Amino acid sequence: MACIAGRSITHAGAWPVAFCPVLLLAFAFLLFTAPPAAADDWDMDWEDPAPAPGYKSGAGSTGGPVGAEPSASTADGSESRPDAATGEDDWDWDWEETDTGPAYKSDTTRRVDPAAASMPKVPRVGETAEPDFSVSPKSGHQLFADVPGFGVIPSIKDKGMHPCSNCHTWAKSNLTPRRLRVPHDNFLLQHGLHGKGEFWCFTCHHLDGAGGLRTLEGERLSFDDAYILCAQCHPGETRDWSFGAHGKRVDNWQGNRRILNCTACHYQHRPNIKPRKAVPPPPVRRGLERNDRKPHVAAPLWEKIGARYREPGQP
Amino acid sequence: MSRKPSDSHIDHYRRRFLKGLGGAVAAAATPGTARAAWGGNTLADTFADLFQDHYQRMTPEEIADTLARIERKAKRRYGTNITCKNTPPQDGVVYGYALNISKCRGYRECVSACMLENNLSRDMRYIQVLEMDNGSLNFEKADRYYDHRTVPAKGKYYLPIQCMHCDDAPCVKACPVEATWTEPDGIVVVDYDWCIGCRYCMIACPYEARHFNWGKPDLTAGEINPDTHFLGNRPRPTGVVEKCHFCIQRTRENRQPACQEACPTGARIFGNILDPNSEIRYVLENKAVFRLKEDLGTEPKFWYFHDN
Repeated sequence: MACIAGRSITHAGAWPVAFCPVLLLAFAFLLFTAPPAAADDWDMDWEDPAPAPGYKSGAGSTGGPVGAEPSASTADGSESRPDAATGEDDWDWDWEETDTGPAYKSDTTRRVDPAAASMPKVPRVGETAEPDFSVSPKSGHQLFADVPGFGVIPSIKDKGMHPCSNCHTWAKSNLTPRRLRVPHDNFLLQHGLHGKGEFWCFTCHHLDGAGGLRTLEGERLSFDDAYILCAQCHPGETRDWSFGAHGKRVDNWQGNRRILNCTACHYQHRPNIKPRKAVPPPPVRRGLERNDRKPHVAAPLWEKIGARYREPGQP
Repeated sequence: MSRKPSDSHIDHYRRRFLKGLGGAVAAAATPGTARAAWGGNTLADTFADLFQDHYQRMTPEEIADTLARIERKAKRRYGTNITCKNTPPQDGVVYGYALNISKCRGYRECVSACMLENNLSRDMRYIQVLEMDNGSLNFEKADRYYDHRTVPAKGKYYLPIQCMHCDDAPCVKACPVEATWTEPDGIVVVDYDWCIGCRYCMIACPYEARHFNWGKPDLTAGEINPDTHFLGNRPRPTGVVEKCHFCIQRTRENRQPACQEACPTGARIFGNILDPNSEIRYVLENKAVFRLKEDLGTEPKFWYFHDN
């Protein structure tokens, strides 16, 4: 209380009373005679309110919902709302959904763990290309000469994810567009026309074994120039991306502009971004309890009254 | 709107004299070297806290002493070594923010990253992601506690809300002790040591962007981000108001704010609105942007836009 009282008095202009040396010495005397408080009681100004029974201080960084009804939680801990259980989402994708997104790291520099880097990376179809921050970015293509300069961060070359060249260095490619069967059955091409797969491999790739990119006019491109390939059909997005309204700039907000390539966020063979689970919702303020999901608060009055006259089991 | 440090009627000579007197008392009364005498704090630091001036009135030497004291207090309180900075604003820079609501999918990665970066109490969030029905902008029916199996949910869109850093901020006008003000680079900051905890600013803010420390911030030593700024994410005392400060400890060192860095969809765009080549200027000049509650005339520097 001493600090705050002192400051408010200073604004009132009552200096002679507040900081009279006699009072000050008396105050210092009181400081010494007072017993020392706990070591962690750093801010002695305010009293901590007693935590309410519903509040768990050990909620951790995830900060799960406080006072969630036990019936709303399933066995595996994932809370499901009634509308989420019954409502059918419009994302009819059949592969597995990742529960966690890219974890936030508050490190100043991006470091590569050497142990993790030496481990063989297990590729998974559908992963986006991982940006390689250790390599200097590749400056933008000359087609983008009129936009503010930028560098595109290269991707880590992951041959295992699309092992086409394992066979197609010697095997002849069947050029006919068709539904892919064994041994291509684990590959899913859902790019173009709302995921119906109107594209074919050789719309964007070479015929030869290197499997590089080619534009519709036949110009060969490196994988780090994939945005030029995307620009053929998505000029608006690419323009926004080059100016910074689409995509993501990393590390700084002025100076050398380093942006992620299209394939860092969009898996090129199915560019829609998969839905996934969100970070858990925030808890309510300390000492309070969420009541927006309690039925006696959330339901309208007529439903609450009607529930008294309803037969059990009736909706 | 005045952005200069405000003059005061406070008698600096008297204050310095009394501060020296307090130090003399502390030196005379403390046996030997400084040790924990009261509240886990040394008496000299306690007196220095008592006589700490407003941030805008402190001399560079006083600021240096204050920063060192903050680091000492954090060491005593949490056992971690933090670095408290006083990075000044850059010339010719006014920060602005743009958020693409077509891209925001409600993952809440920004919320979590903000909490970790800014040493927030674990029951506090600077960013509220509102889930609303498509085609509506009704804040009364917005759900900030949505918890679906996967997001985005069908028929919903997501609107993150945080401090808009208004150019004519009503919270600044409401503060009775001038503990909050607009920095020259447009960031509305709080001097946590000058705040008296009256919470008038929370009432004045139309965006619910200010938050009050009802208890001691719920942090453990391992969760502390040691990179702190005096006006930003340094450990806060109980009973003061805090808010988003555009990650002042990062952005004044030419780094992106934590919410932008954490956003997995690239919906967030941060930059200098005075720089014609910046991304935010491209968005403001070429996209259909809007601001929340623009009719209040607070001139927020936080825009929302959408694709197409």
